[in-house]
Amino acid sequence: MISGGLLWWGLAAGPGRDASGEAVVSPGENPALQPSSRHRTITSDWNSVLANCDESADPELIRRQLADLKGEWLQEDLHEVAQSIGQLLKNGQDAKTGLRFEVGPGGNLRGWPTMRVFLLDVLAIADPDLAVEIAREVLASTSSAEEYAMALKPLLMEGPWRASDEELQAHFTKLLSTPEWQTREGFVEALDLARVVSSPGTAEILARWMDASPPALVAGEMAIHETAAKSPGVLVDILAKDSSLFADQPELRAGLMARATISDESQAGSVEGYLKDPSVPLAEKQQFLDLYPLRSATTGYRLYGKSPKPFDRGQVAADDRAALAAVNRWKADPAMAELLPSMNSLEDRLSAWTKQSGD
Amino acid sequence: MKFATPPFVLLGLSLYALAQDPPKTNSSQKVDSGLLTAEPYRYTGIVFSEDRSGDLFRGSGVVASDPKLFFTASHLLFDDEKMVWTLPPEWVGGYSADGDPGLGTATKSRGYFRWTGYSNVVTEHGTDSQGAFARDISLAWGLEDFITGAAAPIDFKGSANLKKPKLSMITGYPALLDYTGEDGGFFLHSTEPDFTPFRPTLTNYLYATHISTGPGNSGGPVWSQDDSAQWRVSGLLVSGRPSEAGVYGMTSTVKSLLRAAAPAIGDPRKSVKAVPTISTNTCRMVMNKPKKIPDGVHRWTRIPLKCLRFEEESTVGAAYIDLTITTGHRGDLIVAVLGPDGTFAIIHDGQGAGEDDLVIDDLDISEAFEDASPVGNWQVLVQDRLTEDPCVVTRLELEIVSADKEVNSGE
Repeated sequence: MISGGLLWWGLAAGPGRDASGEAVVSPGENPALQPSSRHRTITSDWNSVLANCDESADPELIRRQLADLKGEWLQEDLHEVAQSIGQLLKNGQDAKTGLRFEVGPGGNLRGWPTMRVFLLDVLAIADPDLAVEIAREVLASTSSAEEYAMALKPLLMEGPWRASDEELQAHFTKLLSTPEWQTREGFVEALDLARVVSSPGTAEILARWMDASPPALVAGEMAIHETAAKSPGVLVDILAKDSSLFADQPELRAGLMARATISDESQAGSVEGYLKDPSVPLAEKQQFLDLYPLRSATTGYRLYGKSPKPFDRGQVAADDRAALAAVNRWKADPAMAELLPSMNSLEDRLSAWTKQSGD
Repeated sequence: MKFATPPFVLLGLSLYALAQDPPKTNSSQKVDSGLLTAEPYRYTGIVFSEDRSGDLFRGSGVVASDPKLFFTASHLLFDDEKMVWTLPPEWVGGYSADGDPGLGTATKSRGYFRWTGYSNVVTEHGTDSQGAFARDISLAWGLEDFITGAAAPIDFKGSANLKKPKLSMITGYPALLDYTGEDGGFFLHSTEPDFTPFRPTLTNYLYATHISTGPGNSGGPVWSQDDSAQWRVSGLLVSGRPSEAGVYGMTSTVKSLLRAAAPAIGDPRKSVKAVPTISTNTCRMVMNKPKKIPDGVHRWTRIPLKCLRFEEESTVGAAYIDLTITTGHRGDLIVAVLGPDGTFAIIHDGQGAGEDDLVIDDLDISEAFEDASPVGNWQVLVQDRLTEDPCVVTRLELEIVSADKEVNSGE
């Protein structure tokens, strides 16, 4: 793959070239070149909003200005816009806008808490290649949870920009192990990475972090449940391999296990193992049976991907039938006798649902 | 019309005013049992939920948009502070009597969706905050219909319309009438149709004074009439006091809840174009000449398309794209759509490896652009990232349907 690398970001090696062989030069780097009029306009627009932030203008005014600016800039030559944004990011100037970090439909930001977050947002669209390069610099150096969250975005984009699972795990680990970020909006929005990636590695990182009952536990529960709703096998497998995980959070463990799709043989085995595990308290097993199969979920606008919609009617109906067959086996198993009342309730629910689906 | 007496009248006629009756509160009253199958009453039902301890809670709900879906208040189902899931709620419709209908007559839902964002979890505290009420809506879904026939239509501009002096009323099943102290039993109740506008507090959480229901009415629909006098669900009752009603006003955000539920109820309608090809609420943009894409250049080539048909405050209801790119290797191509407000979606990300020509017919990209502004310059962005397979965009049509006139199926 031909890289469109730009050498001027963070280095002083001179101009880089893209695949067409055209020189890419930052006007600020080479005094022999005059800044283009577009770059001057972009910089002027930027300075205008920056000044408003410094003067504590009404945040809603700043929101409208930034929304207009995003729309205008994205109508221009996107390569030039990206170059200018890169220069502005390199200059390091920043200001608080007074806005919350607000995600809208399709992961489009509606609120930018700082001007640099705004630049990262626009850059990810204007030039994903440059955005990825700059993102890695930001991820290595920023002290802002919101910048960190935005820098992950181009690395999670579909296509050639998507980072490897290993790299994403490393960034996710750093996010979760930065204590001063844990009450920040950027931090919690970035938890969506776990659902979007849904790899065993990121899920385990999230689970281990939650096992330590961190300050952002409630947001973490939302993230882990959304991940489990999308990819139940990933979480069920993690829980099956380590019976100490969430031992101190039985409701959480029961709820996550309740998302299992028992029509999958591996998950069926894990669920039976969980129900027969003597280290799992009876009350927790009853909680599991009270919830199972859990097909409720949170949804909403998410930073890195489409709104969650994890359930498919056909899959739900097939799994309900498999679960009903499993309950009949469990009821006949002397090792599960103490769970009989809960299994009877579960059987009633599953009978009703399989009748409803009529499949 | 029911409005409070203006202050200057009170000042000038204070003694006389004191002798007059205070403004009358519009308190829920029983609906005649003969109306249970009539519009809009037939869409309202009792909602039962059970917590982990086995305690049963009751509220109200409304079947809207699809017969396999009903809306209710989240606080009936979900404890915000604990993120604890409960069993899916149960629905009893077409009932109005003193005695408990019992769960034996209820229809079990299969699950429910709760709308929330990560930042809400950080910044809002407790289930009684205005922020919590501003998102106090859940959508229960089922494997069979909860009512016979079509579901109620939703007014996706309910939050705005309820602030206007439009005719509205609230139906539901209050266990107790706040204003009078009467026992509501399990009778269907309704406030009188009323022109009182609701006032905003936070985003789409609205309130009105002198309208009163009672506990058990939470999740009950707030109806308003459209221009053709049809009742639509414009909001959901989420809080109340003896002479005040707090509601969640419907907005286009609710469509995202409906989209989340669509595959669960196996509804293919949500992915089918339901609007005519040419109409006043449709903007079709066509590329007028082929566009060559630079070979092996990692920059976007922009194909601008302009849409000026809609009013400034319009939002996208649906979006579809048709595209042909001639190439020997479609795996080289990345294709994205960029809306006028910066909403962006990649629609082809190099799939197809060594196959040639990328042909896209009527691809539904609505989900990515819902709520976006449709007015102005749309762009299709293309990159050909590898050399030696030149490509040309030979066909491009982008169709945008505005949400304002979008048909809400309700059937």
